[in-house]
Parts: sequence; C-alpha cells; structure tokens
Amino acid sequence: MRMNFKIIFLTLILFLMGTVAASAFGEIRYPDRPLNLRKARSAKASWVGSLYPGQKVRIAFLKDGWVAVFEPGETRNSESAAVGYSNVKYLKKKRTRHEPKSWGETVYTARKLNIRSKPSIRGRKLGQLAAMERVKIDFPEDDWTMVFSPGATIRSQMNARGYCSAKYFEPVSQESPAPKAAPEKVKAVEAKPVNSESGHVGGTVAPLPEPTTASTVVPDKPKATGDWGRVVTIDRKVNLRKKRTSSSRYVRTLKIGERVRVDFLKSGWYAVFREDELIRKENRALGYALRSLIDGDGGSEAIAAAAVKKTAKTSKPVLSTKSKAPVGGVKKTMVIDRSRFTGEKRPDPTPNKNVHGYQYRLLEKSETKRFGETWITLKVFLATKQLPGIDAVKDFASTLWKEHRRANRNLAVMIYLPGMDTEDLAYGVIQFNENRLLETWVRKATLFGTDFL
Amino acid sequence: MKMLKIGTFCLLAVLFGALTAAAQTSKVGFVNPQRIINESKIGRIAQEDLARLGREKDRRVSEALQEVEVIKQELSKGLLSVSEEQAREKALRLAAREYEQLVEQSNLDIQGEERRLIQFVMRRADSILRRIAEEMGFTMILTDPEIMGYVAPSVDITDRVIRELNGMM
Repeated sequence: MRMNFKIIFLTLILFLMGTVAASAFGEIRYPDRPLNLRKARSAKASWVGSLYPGQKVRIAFLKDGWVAVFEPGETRNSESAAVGYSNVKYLKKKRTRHEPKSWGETVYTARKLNIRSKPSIRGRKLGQLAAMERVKIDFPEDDWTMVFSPGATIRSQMNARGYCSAKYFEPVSQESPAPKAAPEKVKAVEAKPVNSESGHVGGTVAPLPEPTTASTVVPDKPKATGDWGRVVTIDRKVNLRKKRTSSSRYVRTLKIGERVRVDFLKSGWYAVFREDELIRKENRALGYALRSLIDGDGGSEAIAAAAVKKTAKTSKPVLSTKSKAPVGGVKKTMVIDRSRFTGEKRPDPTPNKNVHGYQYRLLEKSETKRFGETWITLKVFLATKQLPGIDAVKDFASTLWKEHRRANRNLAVMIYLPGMDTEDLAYGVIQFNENRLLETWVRKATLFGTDFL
Repeated sequence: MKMLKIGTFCLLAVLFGALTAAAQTSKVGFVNPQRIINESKIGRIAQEDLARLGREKDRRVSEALQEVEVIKQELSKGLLSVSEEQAREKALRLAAREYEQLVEQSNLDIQGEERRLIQFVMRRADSILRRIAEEMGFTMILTDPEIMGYVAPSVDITDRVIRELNGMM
C-alpha cells in the first residue's frame, strides 16, 4: 500500500515537472535600455512597440542576433505569438536597470463591440468584446484604437487583439461596473494573425490574472486590528481624490515624508487611510491616490493625476536627490545604473531628408495618450555641426509639425544631435497642439559628451 | 603549559590575519549625489535646464490665466445679452478648467523632468565612480548622505568625481 502510494506520488511529481517544462520555453531576459521592438529581424523593419529598461520578457528563436520577444507568461512556443523582434545583445539575463513606464489606458465598453483587423468598419471582424469587458487601449488612430488584453505587459502593436472604435470606451473608475471576463470564442479568434498587410500582427498572450480589478472587495465585517493594508512613507507630493478617478474632487495633498496606510487597490488606485487607522473599512479612507505615485513605479508623464500645488510658481525648481527617497519608510542606497557606459556607443544615424538647410532623419513616429490627450511624438536626428539655437529648433520643428499634424492631436518633436544617445533624453523638446506652438525647450545637459559642450 | 601558550599565540596570529584580510576586502567609499548635482558643471547646466523649463511652463500658465481674466472682465461689464452671457460663462468654466489642468500637468512635468535630469547626470558620473572604485580598491560606494554618521575624508570621493566630470567637458 505504502509502495503504491510512493509510486503514485512520484508519477505525479514527474507529470508536474513535465508540464512545467512543456509550458516554459525560451528564457526570461531584461532590456538594459529602452528598446524598440521591430516587426521583423532587422533594424530597418517597421517599429511596432517598445520595452522599458528592466522589463521582464521571454525570448526565443534566436537567429542572426535577433530574437522573438514574448510576454513573460506566454506559453505558446510559436513565433506567431511573438510581440516583436529585438536585438539580443540588449537583452540581459539579469536586470541592470528598472525604469517601469506605464502605457495604455484601462477602459470598458458598455456594449458589445467588434474587434477588427483595420481601423475601419471595413476591417475584418476578428472577435467581439462583451459588454462591460475591460481592456487596455493604446496606439490610437483617428477614431479607432488598438485593444489589448488587460494583462498585457508589452506595448507592441503585435500584442494587440485588433482595432475597436474608441468612442464606445469609458475609462475605468470606481463607479465602473464589475469587469467581465473575455468570452472563450473571442480568445479562440485572437490566435489568428491580425491585419498583416498593415503591419499589425495579432496573437495575444495567455490571459494573465489582473490584480487590480475588483479582486479586493470591502469585507462585510471590518477588521479592527491595525494589522492590515500597508504603511508607506510618501516620497513625493500626492494628491488625494474623492473617488478613483483623476477628475474627481480634490481632497488634500499628502506631503513628502508623511506616513499613511494604503489598501483596497482597485483600478490602479489605493484607498489611503491615516497611519493609525484601526478599522479596515473603505468609507473611512481619507481619499484615493494613484498606485504608481504610492509605489513609485510609474513615470510621471504617464500619470494623469496627482497634482501638486495649484500655483504657477514653477520657475525656480531646485534639483534634489530627495525625490529618490524610498517608500515604506526603509532607507535604500541610490541605485546607479551601471550599464549605460558598458556598451559601445552607437554610431549616429544617417540623415535622409533635408529641410531649412538641415539634414535630418525621422527616427521614430509614435502615438500615445498622456493626460487624456493624444500625442504624436516624432524622434528626429538632426545632422549639424553647429549647435542650433532655440529659434532654429523652433523653425525646424514647425516645419515638421506642418507635415505631420492631425486634427485633435498634439505633436511633440524630440530633437537629437550628433554624438547623443538617441535612446536617452532629447536635446530639443517642442510641443504643438493642432493649431499652434505650445512650448519650446532645450536640455543643454544632454550635450554632455558631444562636440557641442 | 608551553603548548597552551604556543596555541594561544597561533590563534591570535590567525585572528589578526583574518581581520586584516577582512578589512582589506571591504573598503567602502562614499559619494554625495546632491553635491555632484549642485557643484559639477553638468549638474549646474541641468539645473539651468530645469529652471528654463519652469519659465516656459510659467509662460503657458500665465497665458491661460490671462484668458480666464479676459472672459471674467467681459462678463463683469454687464453689456452682454443673456445668450451671450451664457456662452461666455461656459467659456469661462472651460478656460478655468484648462488653466487648472495646465498647472497640474506643468508641476508633474517639472517633477518628472527633475528626476530624469538627476538620473542623466548620475549616469555620467557612474563611469568615473567605477574607475575610482577599481583604482582605490573600493568594494562598494555608498551614495546616500542621510544614512551616514561619519565619513572619513579619505573615502569621500565626491570632490574627485566632480573634478573629473568637469574635466570631461
């Protein structure tokens, strides 16, 4: 009897190991810098998305120094499930930098919505979103947008399920109805390629659990032990809102160093309580704060809330390393990225266009949402031997704006000069709305290491 | 008795050797990032960049405020018809909202930019830090001045990093 039990146990263990081995393929890697994803194994292939430094990805199918990149939880061992291709030399086995950048917007649709292969009603129908189903959206195109599984972590057009009309989406807020799981029939359709002629290939990841949706509910009986939630030390000014939405009423601002208790994470927002709050009941919260501001894992550009003081006195900011103070009240030594100078410096791009007497090359054109507005970003390499002044930069960018501007879109031109790392901060940042120039700014510090400084 | 003395002596010798070796392998250096930002040329340029961004944001905020004020003045004159007044009130609400959003976004932009510039400067300092660490035999370099009770001047390499950063320009 005992022997039989042992045999069954060993068989089960072997089966489990076999299952795990079968489900895992390739290996986990981390980019050591912001990394572009391409449609094919070439730097000239079209851009489909990007990875932030330290983003966890699965790679496989190494060929000619290029690998197929997958969601880390991907189980389909097939190139058709890849979300893009990248040069393997920038994907390290260990994480050397970690600069998470949030992307997309979680939304829901109040009605059934078709997923199409093109941003048009003429696009092939690939599936359907159920009413109240939550999805992530990004890469807006006119009145259409690409939709992603809510658990998608990699921002790539090849990771999208397809296109949906953007006008039927509502942002997820506290009042949003409970999310609905995607129906099986949609999942079955997702595995097929999407819109191959336009460069947007479908195939989605194995659905990942979404920790932020309705999984934390208010318990019927509140705890009164004080041993709940998480006590954090605020490392930046954080605005509390009345509800889980950036447009809801402002309550108060948490100051740097203030200690509070957070809990009830839902839709990317924490309920914030007094540190000494004993009762775990959501209606006793002081207000709500964005998770990315509390956990410090999101770039401020992607955050549409958490304003600081409502004054315009911004002209004399002082650089301070205090902003790197850790959360949770535990001191940490500043982590300095050691990877930036280890690799060879990339050669300057070759210009292929000419305007205003400047030779330039458009390195990248992307579209994303920021503060609820759609932004077209042009990354441009300007081949010049003389440092362009702010007016020259303005004129040059205005010409590009005239060429690329579109209705209801803002446009930002990022200018890089010879000798600069085109994956790092840009020298010139010029922003326009659809009608006029909004602001012009140059970062002279970025000229460090170039012939201009 | 003699054996005991010899044994004790040997033990002490081993202990001393071990302590010396341990001291040699755990040499710790210190650099103050705040001073690098404040005192290096690149750090000062970054601060000027940030101040310039602040002025640009101020200009936009002032323009938005001006727009609000203009509508307010139009309304306060009391010369508008009812329909015109309603339209201007709507425009005022819109302009005030845009103004508030702009202030909010501007502050967020500046905070984000501050972080990015600090990281940019510290990444440039890093190549120097690494070289100095190898040269002086440091196994680690601490960077947080707030956790330091005391730092001997011999292990504080901030001045040297600043000097070498300046020399690279």
